[in-house]
Parts: sequence; structure tokens; C-alpha cells
Amino acid sequence: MNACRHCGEAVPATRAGSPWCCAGCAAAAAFVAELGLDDFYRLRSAPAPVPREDAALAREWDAPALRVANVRAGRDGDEALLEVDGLRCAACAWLVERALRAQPGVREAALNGTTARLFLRLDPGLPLAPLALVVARLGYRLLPPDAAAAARLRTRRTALKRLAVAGIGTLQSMMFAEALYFGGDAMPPAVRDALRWLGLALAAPVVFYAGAPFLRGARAELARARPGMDLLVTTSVLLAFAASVVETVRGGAAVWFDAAVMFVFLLLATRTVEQRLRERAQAGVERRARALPAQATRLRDGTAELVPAEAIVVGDELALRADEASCVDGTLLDACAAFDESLATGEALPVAKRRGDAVLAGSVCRERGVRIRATRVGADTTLALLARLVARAQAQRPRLARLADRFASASVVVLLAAAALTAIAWQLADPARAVPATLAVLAASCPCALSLAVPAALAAVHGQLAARGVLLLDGDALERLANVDCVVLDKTGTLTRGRAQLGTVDAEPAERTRALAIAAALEHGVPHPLARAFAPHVDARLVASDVRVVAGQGVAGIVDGRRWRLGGPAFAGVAGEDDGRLVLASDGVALARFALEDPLRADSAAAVAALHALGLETILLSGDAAPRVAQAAQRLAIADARARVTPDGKLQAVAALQAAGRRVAMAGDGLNDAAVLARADVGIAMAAGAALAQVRADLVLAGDSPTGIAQAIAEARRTRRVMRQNLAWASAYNLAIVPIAAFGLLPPWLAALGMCGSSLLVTLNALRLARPMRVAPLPSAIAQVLPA
Amino acid sequence: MNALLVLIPVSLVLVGIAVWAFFWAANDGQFDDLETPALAPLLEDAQETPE
Repeated sequence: MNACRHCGEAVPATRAGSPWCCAGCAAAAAFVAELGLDDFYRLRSAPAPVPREDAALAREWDAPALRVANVRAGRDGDEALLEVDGLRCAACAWLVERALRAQPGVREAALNGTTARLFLRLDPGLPLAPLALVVARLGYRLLPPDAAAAARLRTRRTALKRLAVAGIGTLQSMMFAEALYFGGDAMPPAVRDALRWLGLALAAPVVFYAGAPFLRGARAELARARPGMDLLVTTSVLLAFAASVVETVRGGAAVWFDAAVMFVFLLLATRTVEQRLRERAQAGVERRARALPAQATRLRDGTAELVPAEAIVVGDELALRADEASCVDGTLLDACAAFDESLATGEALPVAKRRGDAVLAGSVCRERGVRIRATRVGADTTLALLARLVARAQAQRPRLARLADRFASASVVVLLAAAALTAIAWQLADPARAVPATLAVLAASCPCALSLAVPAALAAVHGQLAARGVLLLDGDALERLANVDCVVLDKTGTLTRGRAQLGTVDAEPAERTRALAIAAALEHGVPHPLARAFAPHVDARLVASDVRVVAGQGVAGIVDGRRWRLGGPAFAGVAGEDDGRLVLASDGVALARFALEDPLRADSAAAVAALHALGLETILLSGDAAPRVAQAAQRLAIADARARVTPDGKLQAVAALQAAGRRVAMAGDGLNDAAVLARADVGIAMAAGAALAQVRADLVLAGDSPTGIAQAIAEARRTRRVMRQNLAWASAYNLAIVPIAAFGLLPPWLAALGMCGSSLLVTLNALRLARPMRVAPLPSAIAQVLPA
Repeated sequence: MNALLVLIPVSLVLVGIAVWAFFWAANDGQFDDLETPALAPLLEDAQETPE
């Protein structure tokens, strides 16, 4: 199979011979060539996004309000600061920039590949829509900027300026310090004092401007009576500065301005690097939630009108053009369509939808336009919920991080005491070395690396997993997941699509329709995945009353004056072997038997194989009948498969495993298995789209594919390994270095350098987690061997 | 020692200039994007090629 020359996806057989996978990519490539920007393919380091059909995306920029809000008149024409979504590497930014510059009326275009911000200078009055079209034709998207991004930019600039002041100040300070070290004794006292006063003049801005974040932090820590790192840093910096000022004024033996400025500089540098790296690892989720279109076409009384997304209310009917993203959750009103849900679920392939199916905000309708009815809008949409869930999990401080924090906070007090002891001891032994030794202890002991060890790793892994549709809802789940040695899988909805279809119906021909209608009435509103198979057969005249759902067995109720039972033969009360078919019976007489077909997912076998490859035992627990469970187990190579297990039975099975000392992860659909998921050490829910809101689990696979289970476990183990390495390194380093510093064997500057190096090492180690590792054998390869 | 009397003020002036230049550059957005411009020298300049 060939890879598309533009986006890198496989070229389908129907287009064999073409270098492009679809008409869109071919068009984008032609457009790139037309603009004379073929260099893009040579320079890029990531494949380009799949282009979307232009008109719809660009049309939202036709609204005058958007232009008014984002364009202002400048000295040399109109200026606009916008954002471009979909940039994958620096070459993308270059391509968009050049393409825009080539447009008539564009005087200047500058696109920042890191922040995705686009600056435009335009001929006055030039409309934005054609430019948005250019961007869309290349496969990217033009977005209005948000204020938060501007604030972030300001913060970054301020941080850089502080760093520069500290850096330049440190260089110059070292120069004076050097002169004093080597020539201080030979100098006339007047020159020596002059150099010291100059050192003071240089150190003051470094300590009080560049070091302001530390001073502020220390004040906050004191106010809350919770000593932390900033207090330690501030103590050492202020001690060095104050002692030096005193010595300068009274003409003492030595000054340590160089140590003070160097602490500030090295700490700032470490912090800046650490923040940059972390920001980059985390950027994804937030930007995705903002990527929804700002407008939609509302259909009302037969007319279509373009309205802002905020004006849409639940129940509105919207028209979605081909390749337009929906800005609300809704239900599909047209017969069928394929949707790209990658924004919400991380799933790259389009998903086929039927009338009545849920359409997620952010999903893009492929190939043709459809109508949807809004069911959730604004902050209630699945995508917004997803962003909130991830943000909440990230905001949580998991047990390990809290532990490291408490340890770091406690050690600050101990270290301050150690520094005081050092000072007193040296004061008695050799007063001249008291200040440098104390400074070295303070600088060397700062437990920065210790408090970074856990959060840095978690931030990296959360972001990486979320981008692939694996959402951690419980901050502690990762730790438990790493210890799992046994995975219990539910069949329906987890290994199968959970979208059952009605197969053969065994009933008297005359009774067939009525039997289906009765079954449909009974199953109406039942949340089990199989229940929806009957939905097309609902007859409005038949309504079930007194419906009782027996989880894992069937449903009973009164329809048309008679008491019906729908389920396995035992539940329905009729004789006969349990062959997996549902029996509809009344008073022990069967009216019909239904065969429901729920094929395995294409990637289930790969998912189970990946679990085995991780050395995990898998157990299949299903409420389904034995023949079908056995068949599925055989195909998936699961040795331990149990059929006809009631939810209570599942609970007991999990409890029995736990009693035997196993650590169990349970994967289910999250709605019918809630109790078992809660009981297991880690509950993993497969939740596509709308179901996300109700799911109770530690981990949710929004991608609706079981391969995420093995990925999550593998990443959890890797995270555990990295956190252990980090904690071990940080504590070993601090324990080893403090005594050395206390005995005066370590100059203060070297202590500071070592501490910063240690922090950086920990951060860089954690960032290895931001790159996904491949755990499964290629899923698609296996899927082709095994029929679905 | 007379050299010091000249050189030290000169170095302080240079420090002042360096800080001022850096502040100007940061405010001007010179450090906002540290990746894209790295590609610029590798590219043909599109405007110079005839249409």
C-alpha cells in the first residue's frame, strides 16, 4: 500500500496508482504546486493535515462581526492577529505564511509555528474570507485569537526579560568578582571598594527584578505558613546579598554578589526551560476545545440563516455542509453519513452514522451535507466535557505527588535548620568560611528536582494519552494501572461494537411483526447496548408498562394486557437449550426467538494480543450465551472465557481474583458495568461520545477502541518507571550533596549549578513520556487476517 | 589602574545597552517564535522566480 504524498495516509485500492489518498489531498497538493511552494514537502517533519473542502470553513469568515472584532486599522493598512489551527511542524507555518503572502492585498503575513499566531497586514477593507479559504484549501484553519493566548505571550516575554537581566548581570558580576578574587589583596582599598559598590549596583536589579518571582513566592509561602522551595531560594539569595552589602559597607574580607546573581540566573534558566518543555507537552487538549466553528446554519420555517454558535439552543435544526464541523452535539436527521470524530475521540477513521445516531461537537461530516438537531450546546457538549474532565484530572494532585510535596516541604524546614547549624559551626571554627559554606548548603539542598519528579511525568503522560483518546479521570489511576496483572474484559460494547443488529427472527410469519413490536416496546429505553437493535420496530400503539430489567438476563413487562418476558430461555421460562438467541415468551409459551448479531471489533484481536504481550492475563466475562462467547474467545485467543455471567457474577469473579491477590483492571461499557468497574482496581470504560457524561470509571477510552487498554497500561508502567527514577535520583543527589556542602568542600556557585542540573535532568527524563510508545503489533495488519 | 577608570564605566554602558537591546527585541516579538525562521535560509525565495 502506498502512502499519500500529501497527508501520509494509505492510498485506498480504489485510487491505486494515484500518489494521493483522496481528491482533497490531490487538490491541496495541486494548490501547493500552483503557489510554487513545493519546497514544503522537502522541509516538513510531519505529514500535512487532510484538507477539508473549503467553502464551508471559510464562509464563517464572511460575517462582518468577525472582521470588526479582529481587524484594526494600523499605520500601513489593516492589521489582524489571528490563529491557525492544524500546524504540525515548522514547514506547515512556512507554507501558510507564503501562501497568504502570495494573495493580492496581503502586505505582510507572519505565522509563528510555536504559538500558531498569525499576524496579517492587509490593504484597508480587504475581506478575510478569501484568505481563510486559502488556509482551508491547504488543510489548515483560520481561527480568531483568544485573549488567554495573548496573556501567555506577555508572561513569556516578561520571563525572558528577567532571564536576560539575570544573565547579563551575572556575566558582568563575575568579571568584577574575578578581579576581586585574584587581585583583591594587591589592590588599593579604594579600588577594591569601588569594584564592590559596582557589584552591588549590578546585583540589586538581578535580585529584585529578575528574582521577583522567587521573592513573591517566598512571601506567599510565609503567609500560608507552608515553607517551600521559593523560601529556600530567597533565603540563600538574600543571605548572599545582605552579607555582601554589610561587608561592602564596612570594608570586610569578602563579598558574594556573584553567588547571589548566579543563583537567580541558574534557577530562572531551569524554570524557563522546564516550563517551555511542559507547555509543549500539554498544548493539545485546550486548543482542540476551541477549534469549534463560531457559526452554524440554522434551519427555521424552511429558511436557512447563519447564526453565531452562542445563539443555538437545544432543539434547533441545523444544516451541516460537507466537511463542516458541528459546533453542537446533536442527533442525525438524515438517513446516513460518515463522520470524522477525531477531534473528540482521537479516532482517525470516519465513523458511519445512521438516522438518530448522536453527532458530536467537533465532528466533521464527510462527503455530503446533513441536517442535525442540537441536543447539547456550548459548555454541555461532549468535547467541552472532555476538555473539562482532562483538565480536572490534571489539576488533581495524585497521592505520589502529594507525598513528594509533603516531603519537600518538610525537608525545607530541616534544610534551613541544617544551614543554620552549618553557619554556627563554621562561625566557631573558621568565621571567614561561614557565609560561603551556608550558601552552598542552601543552594545544594533545594529540593526542586524532588518536587518536579512526579508532576512533570504526569503532565507529560496525561497530555500524550489524551491526544489519543485515553482519558484519565482519576489522578491516582495511573499508579494502580501500572500494578495491574489481570484484565477482565466484558464482551458486548467492549470487544464488540455494541451496536447489535437483528439477525434471523424465528416466529410464525403472521406473528413476526407483532413479536418485533412487543420486543421493541419492552426494550424501549433500556440502556443495554443490545436493546437498540429493536428500535426500528417500535410501534407507537404498543407501550410496555411495569417494565422490569434484570441485568444480564432479560427484561419483563406488560404489553397489550399480557405479561411478557424477553431474554434467555431460562429467564423467559421456556424449555430448550440456551443457544444465545433471545426468546420472547408469555406464560411459558414462546412467541418468537431473535438472533442478535454483534460482531467483534476489527481491532479487538490486536488489543488482546497487545495485553498478552505485556504479560497480562485476560479473562472474558460475558452475559452472552456459551457458544458465542466461546467463539469470540477462540478468535481472540483468550483462554479463560465465562458465559452467562450476571453483573453480580462479574462482581464476584472480580472479588475472587482480588482475594487471590490479583490486581484487576476491568473493561466494560461503563453504563451496565458500573458496579464492577468500581470494584476492580482500575475501571476502564469504553465510552464513545455521548455516553461519556454518565460514565463512572477511572479511565475512559473515548476513542471507542479496546487497543487503548494495552496502551494505557504500558504507559502507566513506563510512567511508574520514570517517576521512580526521578525520585531516586532527586533524593540520592540531595542526600549526598548536603554533607559535602556543609563541610565547605563545595563552592556556592557549583552547588547552584548542580542543583539546576539535577532539576533539568528530572524534567527531561519525564518528558520522554510525552512521546507515545508503540505497544501493539500493527492493529491493521491483524485486523486483515482475522475476519470481523 | 588608570585603564580601569575608563574600562569599568565602558563595561557598565555596554551592559546597559545589552539589556536595552534585549528588552526591545523581546517586546518586538523577536523571541516569540524560535523555530520557523530557522527554515528561512533553506528556501528559495518565491518572489524572485519569474511567474
